[in-house]
Amino acid sequence: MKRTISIAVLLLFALSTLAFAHAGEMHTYMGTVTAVNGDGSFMMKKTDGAALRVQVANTTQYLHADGSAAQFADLANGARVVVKLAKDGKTAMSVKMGSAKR
Amino acid sequence: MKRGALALLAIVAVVIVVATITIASMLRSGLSTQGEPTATEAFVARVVRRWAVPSELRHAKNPVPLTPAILAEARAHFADHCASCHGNDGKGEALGKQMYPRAPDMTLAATQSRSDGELFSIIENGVRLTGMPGFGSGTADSAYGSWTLVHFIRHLPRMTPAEIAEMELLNPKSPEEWRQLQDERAFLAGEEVTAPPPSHPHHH
Repeated sequence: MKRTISIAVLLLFALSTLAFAHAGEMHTYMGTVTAVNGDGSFMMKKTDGAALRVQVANTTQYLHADGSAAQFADLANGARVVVKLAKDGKTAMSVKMGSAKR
Repeated sequence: MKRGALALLAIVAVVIVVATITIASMLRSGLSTQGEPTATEAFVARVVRRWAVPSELRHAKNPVPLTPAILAEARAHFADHCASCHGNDGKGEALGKQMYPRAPDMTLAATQSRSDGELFSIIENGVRLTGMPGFGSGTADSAYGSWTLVHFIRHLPRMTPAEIAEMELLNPKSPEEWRQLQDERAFLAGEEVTAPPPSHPHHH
């Protein structure tokens, strides 16, 4: 009996790591850069027309559309971007840059 | 004989006290995976995990030669099998951060200081009572894949954004995530796409 209870408790321990697992939220937005600020942020106009201020951090990753490395200085007005925001809804985890809007 | 009985009694008493403290702690916090393991739990887990690695493996060196091709193969393997919990950069900022214990930041010394054989053993055999499954099947193919992953784990502290971007394309995806990726590519290429709702990629 004790052995059965012990095994059940251990199984519950193991299964609980799966049952309550839940990934953190990340938000992805597509849009066009409308302004690059000097304070480490930029403004973008999302595809739904709304404006969004994006903060960047030392850990933000910048990429061109072909996957090659980019940097904050490559951001320019009119550039298309895909931004993945961290859970705080403000800070970019990654910024992918494409061509200017036609 | 009397001394032996007393020693046995003392051991039983210690076991009962430890068990009582453990059960009391569980009753207070339930079986929640929130919070960090206590220092005692972490210490015991580290010691037991080290003991659990077979001695012939503990000091084993990686028998698979390290080449750019092997590293690329391991990167793709990691993106497909491991990144959903460990993250593409191995820092544990994925499903693994909701587990108890948390998936470790494998770029740090706690992982990097382990021997090749210890890392191989963990990949092959998993770690009980954690989210880490054993991926080994006892075949030469399985062992080869795990040794190549050991090379990739050694490379994690030097990952580049381009490597991570490449891995994102290889991560397992739902049909919705594939659609979103195609939309993003088309958008960055200058095509018009309809405005999708903000993504909330949850994994249950």
